Amino acid sequence: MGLAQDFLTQANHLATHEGANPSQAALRRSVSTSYYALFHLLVHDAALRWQGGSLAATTGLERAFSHGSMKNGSVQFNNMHWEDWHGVIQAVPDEIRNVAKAFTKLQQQRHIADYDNYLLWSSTDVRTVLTTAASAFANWEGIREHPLA
Amino acid sequence: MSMVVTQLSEEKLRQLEADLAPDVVRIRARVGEDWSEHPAAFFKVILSDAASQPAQLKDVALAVEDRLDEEFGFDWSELIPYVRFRSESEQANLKEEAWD
Repeated sequence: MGLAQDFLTQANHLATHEGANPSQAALRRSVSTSYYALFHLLVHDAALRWQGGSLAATTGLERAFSHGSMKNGSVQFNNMHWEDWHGVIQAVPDEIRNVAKAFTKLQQQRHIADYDNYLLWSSTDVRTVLTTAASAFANWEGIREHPLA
Repeated sequence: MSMVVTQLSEEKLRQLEADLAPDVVRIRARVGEDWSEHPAAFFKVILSDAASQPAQLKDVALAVEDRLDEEFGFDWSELIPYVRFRSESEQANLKEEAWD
């Protein structure tokens, strides 16, 4: 998982390296980095699947993924069933739903952490964000070869 | 035509607090829009200090979120639930009104 896993490790480090009373800056960066960890995990795997693995091709495709379009996709996969482009209703595996829900949650939390300077974060809050990200990674690892992934 | 939920039942929230005690001390909720203007339900959950400990937090948070999904039917609702957690001691230190 490379860079994505490194981001997740960094998110954990940011939340804990200042000890029992971490700064708001450290907590906010941890939340933001947790989101970007999952973002990069999903984008990289999608680009690999479509482009086959050349660095230049995957980099170009990765840049095409926008936060908004990924949000819209995730919301669709929050549901138990998904209608594909041929009108066929498909059951969404629990692991994919869990990843989609996690992505949606992390995206919202990242938005608050990066842009709302008046809302405060606590270590408890950030630990649940980190858990959400870690669980999403674990769910993705188990489902990444699924056709709907 | 779908109906947009504009508020969450206070009665259900108080019952949830009672059901999830002593881990859950207080739940505050509001309906609004998330960053992408999608309808959303925002929850602020105060946990006991004991329930906020790292060894318990993951299971407690999951139990709370599952109960919220179950009580408010988020799997079938257009509302996306966003839940944040804080311990009693943290709130005593941070003193944010929205969590009281």
